[in-house]
Amino acid sequence: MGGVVALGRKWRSIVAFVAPLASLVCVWEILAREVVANPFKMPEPLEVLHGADELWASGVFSPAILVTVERIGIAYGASLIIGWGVGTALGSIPSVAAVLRPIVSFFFTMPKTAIYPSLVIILGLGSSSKIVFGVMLAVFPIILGTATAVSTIDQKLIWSARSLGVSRARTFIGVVIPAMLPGAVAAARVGLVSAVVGVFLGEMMVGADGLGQLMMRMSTALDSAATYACLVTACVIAVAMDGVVLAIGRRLTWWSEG
Amino acid sequence: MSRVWREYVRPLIGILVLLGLWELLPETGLVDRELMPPFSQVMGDLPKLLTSTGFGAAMLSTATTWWVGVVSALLIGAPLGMLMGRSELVFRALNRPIGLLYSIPKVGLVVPLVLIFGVGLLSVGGVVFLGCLIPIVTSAYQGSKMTAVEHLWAARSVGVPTWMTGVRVVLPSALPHLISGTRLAVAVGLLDVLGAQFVVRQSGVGAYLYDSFDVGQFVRVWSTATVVAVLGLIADLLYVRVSKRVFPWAI
Repeated sequence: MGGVVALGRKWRSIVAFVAPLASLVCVWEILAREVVANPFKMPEPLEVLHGADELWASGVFSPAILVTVERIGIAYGASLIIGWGVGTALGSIPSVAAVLRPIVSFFFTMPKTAIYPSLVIILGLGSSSKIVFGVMLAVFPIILGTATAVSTIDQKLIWSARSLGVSRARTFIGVVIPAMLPGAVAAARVGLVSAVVGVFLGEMMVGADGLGQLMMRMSTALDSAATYACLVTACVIAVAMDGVVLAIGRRLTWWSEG
Repeated sequence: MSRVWREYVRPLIGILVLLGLWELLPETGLVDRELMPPFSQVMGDLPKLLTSTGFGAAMLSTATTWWVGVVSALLIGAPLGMLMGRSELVFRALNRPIGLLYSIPKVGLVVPLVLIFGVGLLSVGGVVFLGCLIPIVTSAYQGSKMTAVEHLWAARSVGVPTWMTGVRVVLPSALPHLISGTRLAVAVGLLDVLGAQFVVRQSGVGAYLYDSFDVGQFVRVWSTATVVAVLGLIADLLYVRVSKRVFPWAI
């Protein structure tokens, strides 16, 4: 124990990151070997790694991953632009809020999964239906989170700037945007998970390519190791992207404690 | 007049505009009406949909799985979250796994769950349970953290045993957060159950949607989606109403 404490901060954060993953893999190994004891139902972690290796060698893995990551990227980017834009307008302009807020709340509580088949009917089996679905899932939490962040800015900050003669535009850039950044970044993180879920779920449900579709195909082909490998890869992608967003967010809001 | 306008008419403007678009775009041929049937045509299918036995059975299956998932997540997640808020040890143990679970596309888990447990309440309901767990645990945690320590002292000083303070003090303090967290869980649960049933295709509205989609009955797909969408909205409205009635002091 003393040895761990003696490690530098950097090492401790690495350990803090690796330890839960390691324990997860251990729990998985124990469950697979002792509790379930059926390699078809729940392959051990090493078998899944082997399955991933085979998938990679067969050449279907990397195109699927690329397609999925690309879709997530586009969906998330679009959600951020729309979400931050609409959210800011919603939080700062009362007339916009009066008209848009009912629509946003209306669509927020709607189970968009039910609408996905209709999306595929219109947009086809390709990327666009998955991207739009991802945007539909991600954009609403971003809008609501950003709107809250903007509307709860301390008015005194804005008054101070304006009273010193700062123009409206400059106030917006110099005061409003930094003040709302912590909330907007938090909303962006929630949106990321939804974008990943949207694209992956869309591919699982109806699709011709992508990681979700690959997982379904492997499941039908009764290749459990490959099936689990696809799922684990999707999780890794989600966690990795979340880490990136978190890091960028911390950079942007280094001055705040939130 | 202006109150009626503000509270009832103005919120509906946006929705009426959207419905208008839904009707006009296919009618005028801007969108292929095979793919997006006009609003009126979809509404016309509603009576047939609502009286079909297949749909009724599907609704029952979806509703059951949905609510079992939400309630089980509440029964397990709320105490867990509150414990996390009061005990540093529990927090440290559970924080990372829950963060990990958060990033995982929950419906993706339905495939391994079906492999292990077969199709049924454990697998499909399990997905709903896991999806609802996160908002409930997070909100319970935040709510319990806000418990005023003076309340706890007061309870202890009149002889309430420590384990009981959880129920008598922490739970009521955490309730406002927990109620809004559960509201989110209800919506997420519906999303997850539909997705999972769509993928598994055994029973429920998700499977019903897939079957209609598969045989090209597009009008049925749109009308089913509309019914489910409205269902989600009604569930949310009802939830807010009921929680205000039952816990008026918490909202």
